Amino acid sequence: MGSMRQEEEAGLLPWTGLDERTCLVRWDARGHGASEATLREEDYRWSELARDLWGVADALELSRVAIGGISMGAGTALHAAVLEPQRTRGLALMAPPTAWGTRPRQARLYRSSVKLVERVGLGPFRFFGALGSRMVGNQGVARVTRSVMRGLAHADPRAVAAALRGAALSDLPDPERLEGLDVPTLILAWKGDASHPLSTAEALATRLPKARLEVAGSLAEIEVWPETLNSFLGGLP
Amino acid sequence: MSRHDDVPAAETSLYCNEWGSGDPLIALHPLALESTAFAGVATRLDRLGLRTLALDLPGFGCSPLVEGPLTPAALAEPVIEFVRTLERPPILMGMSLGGRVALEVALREPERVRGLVLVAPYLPWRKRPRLFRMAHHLDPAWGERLPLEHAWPLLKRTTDLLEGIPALEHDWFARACVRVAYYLSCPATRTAFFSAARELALDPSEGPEGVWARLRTIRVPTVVLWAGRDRLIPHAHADAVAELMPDAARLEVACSGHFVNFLHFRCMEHAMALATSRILDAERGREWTSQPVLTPCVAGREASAETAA
Repeated sequence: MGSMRQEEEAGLLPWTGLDERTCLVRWDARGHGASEATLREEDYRWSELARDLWGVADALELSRVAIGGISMGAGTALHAAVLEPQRTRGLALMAPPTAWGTRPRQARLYRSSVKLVERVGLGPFRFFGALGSRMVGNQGVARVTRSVMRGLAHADPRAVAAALRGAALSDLPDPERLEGLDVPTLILAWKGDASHPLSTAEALATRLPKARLEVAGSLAEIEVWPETLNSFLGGLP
Repeated sequence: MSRHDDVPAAETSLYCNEWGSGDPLIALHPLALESTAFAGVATRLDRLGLRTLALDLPGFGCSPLVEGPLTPAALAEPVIEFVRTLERPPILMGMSLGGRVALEVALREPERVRGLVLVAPYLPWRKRPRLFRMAHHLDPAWGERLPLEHAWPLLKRTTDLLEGIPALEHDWFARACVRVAYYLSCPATRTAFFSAARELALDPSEGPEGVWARLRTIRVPTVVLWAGRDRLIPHAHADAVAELMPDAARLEVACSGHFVNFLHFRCMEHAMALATSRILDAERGREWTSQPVLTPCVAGREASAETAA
């Protein structure tokens, strides 16, 4: 549900510390931020968003790239790596979302949110989101949540409903497929966020053959992510 | 910076405002407005490599009024003549009344039109035909009888004051709307307004001459942009057009109204540029989705970028 603008507002950009050797390409996923939206839920499956990623790479004539993302972006990047492993130099997965065993519960939450959006619009969604962000112990998570909720003020309820339905249909690739993904991977996770549980990050670290997991327990630890990411990208073959 | 000139068109001339460089795009304005309304979107179209040629339709802005009723066909005639003088077929962009006129041009001279961008196009209402038939009683000559020209100094001063509002500085559609007040102090413009409004109301919806039936025959690449908060064009028209023109791309700018959008004027301009880029994408072989596409709200984003700059 986020966008580039909301990432900037949250001030937790792991991308900001990248050195001059790295050419950073960011975009708002379809239906998010300043990108166009469709109203078909299938368009928002992470596997479809992964096709968009390679579409962007093709448009920029980038043959082999390191890819990464936060939350839904992490899901998109992982699907993209499975789609085109030979084009993937490295993977940076931040705050991996619920997956596999924990996904059905999250999907139910998304579907309930869709009903709420369709019946009463985005107002209560923003209110409860803002309220929830104040109850979260991790200040980094709270900042991200608040910026996402502010972004919803400009969203179209139909697009939000379609994106939520698409998220409910989505999951990470099958764990068996990940075991064959021979790509250097950095996993950055945080504690205290049920939507981005540590269990997913740990399972990914176990399944992916070349994965390294870093877990942040506080805002200060999240704030060193740019350096961690920079050093990971600098060490890619 | 705009360039402007009178351009030859059939037995009259049309006033043309021109911005940018590149392949031609002809922009046709809504009822009562004129070509300067496109000054903002023209900057975005220039970035796409398009030269915007915004025409004042006959009787509006600086173009002279022509004899006879201002039917969509009569308004399209000088535009067709102008299109014939261009070095290559233009993209036609029309908003509201301009959309109806653009359709007429594409129906009559499809081989001379590169693509069609219809922004909240006026199409005859299919409901309440009796109500619209009452427009028969509207006589355009009334326009000349209203003594509004005596109020010209007051109307001009009011318009200048309104145009000076900082919020309207970059909102060219709103500024053109504000100027309608003193445009209507000109008897010829009033006559044109009444005549075009009357003919739009009487534009046949059904039958072989009805525009709805003719929509099926359009073969020009077409993008239709609808406004989510439009109070003038029925929302049902979007579904009906999609059914009759299944190959046309359908976009919606959800946060905008017909053409006065206050904080969201940038969203409409952005959407118009996105709609036009669809035509260029199609020429490069990119396929359109058959699904309706919502264009983004860029109100806060672009305003803050402008402030920062």
